[in-house]
Amino acid sequence: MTLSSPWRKDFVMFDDSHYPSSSLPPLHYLDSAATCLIPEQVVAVNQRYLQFEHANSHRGFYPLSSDLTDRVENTRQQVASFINAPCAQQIIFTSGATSAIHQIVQGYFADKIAAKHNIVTTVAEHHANFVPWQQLAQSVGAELRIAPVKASGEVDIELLTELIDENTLLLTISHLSNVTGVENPLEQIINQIKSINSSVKVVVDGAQYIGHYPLDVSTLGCDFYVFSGHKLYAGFGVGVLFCHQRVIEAMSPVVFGGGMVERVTNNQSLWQTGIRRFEAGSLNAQAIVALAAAIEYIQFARSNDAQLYMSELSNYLRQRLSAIGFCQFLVATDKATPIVGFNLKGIHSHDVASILAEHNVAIRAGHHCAQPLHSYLNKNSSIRVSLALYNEQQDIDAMIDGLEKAHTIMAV
Amino acid sequence: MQTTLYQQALLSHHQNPTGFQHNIKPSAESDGYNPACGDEITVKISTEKNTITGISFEGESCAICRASASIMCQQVSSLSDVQAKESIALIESSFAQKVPFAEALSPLNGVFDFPVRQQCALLPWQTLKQCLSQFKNS
Ligand SMILES: Cc1ncc(COP(=O)(O)O)c(C=O)c1O
Repeated sequence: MTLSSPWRKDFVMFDDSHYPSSSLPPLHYLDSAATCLIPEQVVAVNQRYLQFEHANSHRGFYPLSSDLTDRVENTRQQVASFINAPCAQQIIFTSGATSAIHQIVQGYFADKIAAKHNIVTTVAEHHANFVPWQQLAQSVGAELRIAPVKASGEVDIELLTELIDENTLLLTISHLSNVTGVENPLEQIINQIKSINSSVKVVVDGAQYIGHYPLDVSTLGCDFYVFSGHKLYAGFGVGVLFCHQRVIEAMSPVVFGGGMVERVTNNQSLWQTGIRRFEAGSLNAQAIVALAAAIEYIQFARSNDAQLYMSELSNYLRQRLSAIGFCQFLVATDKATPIVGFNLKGIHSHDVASILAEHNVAIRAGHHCAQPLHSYLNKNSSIRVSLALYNEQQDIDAMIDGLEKAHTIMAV
Repeated sequence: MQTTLYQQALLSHHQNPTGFQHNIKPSAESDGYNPACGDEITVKISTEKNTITGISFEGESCAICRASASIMCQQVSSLSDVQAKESIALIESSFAQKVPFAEALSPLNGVFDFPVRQQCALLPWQTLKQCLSQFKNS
């Protein structure tokens, strides 16, 4: 039985009739960890928004604006339900995961950190969840403690917990690695960390996890959770920052401007009391309504066995890669997830990517914004293949053909 | 089997590079790094009275970078530092202005259609440039 996707038809990018003059072979898009393609259902919502619904939300008394305000606030509620957050007032809209992390760093930790503190993270973080913490630590002379990963790619929990002490301010960690596709067992990690020092705050970078697995932030027990809409089929322009009730009151706005203030005089400003104090300026309502549509899309797919399909496809990907003798996985795990990192023996990742590009097979090569992990693994770059709902067996087969060709042409 | 980018002439350099890990007594060496892809290269030269008498390169890099480094080693050995700098300037301006290369440099012509890979081809030459400036200072 070949694995074919019931969702592929929703993505017109795969329909060659739209490119009558193209000389390219059909697209095999295997770089969804960079950004997911956008289904027609979300495109339609975007188009309707641009044509008939565009306004500035949270501003006008007229229906166009007030209806849009309702939609934004309903989306906040929808996001809360999607990740099982207790309440919509714990969901902040940002422009993406990167800016959500910035809000946490500057809005929560910048005025709490001192030289005696330490920040604990892992060597496998995306630069978006590494550099801001490194810079924060350096700004006050605090220590950045970096936990290694095991050969399996999971953070080494034993070594991680050894890094936690009474001066640990926070742990920041990714849920699913954007390089290896390995999931960290966060519930267990958070339990253990908090049993050593209950005041340690936990920040989770869920940018890669959110599009692939159901999330329950309440069970997880984290203080902050961030993700981007564009890795969830929504397109660019919106991200989400979930904050636990226990941290939200102690967090300050980072960006000041319209919409986030209650009262401004010549000498002082009073912030709004709710979550809107973190959303200065006009909201990107277009991206927010697209996020609402994307969540609906993904939930509908999940109710139609998307999880099962993705796990079968991930298994197929891993099997095919394992079967070619010259593939070297970055980490030794046999848990197949939709993201896999590897190298081909004797060929630089960029040469592989270029040869695949000539066949219109889109994969990622380089360090994937994770240089500390590559240094740790002693690699200067790697190849990443990542799957989404629209992928099917033929994409993986085309990619494997390309790898074999690359090997024939290039291996030294 | 070949592709637009990886023409046979370029692949030959990649597979049998000139100057790769050559054992020379370097009078100057420099490291080059391409942040876009992680190419790393070290270029070493030995010199006598302003003339390059030996050149070698090493490091983990892609085929474009390796082939370009191999061509460079063939081109600049026994040139004076001034001549070598002229060669480097020619390579840089040819890429900037998309002027195809002739003869020994022609394996690099495939790179013109792949702007993101031009930096890979340029890296060895830019690293040599650093190397030469160092040698002049000393
Ligand atoms: C694990 C991880 N964290 C954070 C980010 C940053 O996301 P964005 O660029 O959407 O802000 C990414 C994006 O690649 C990622 O993969």
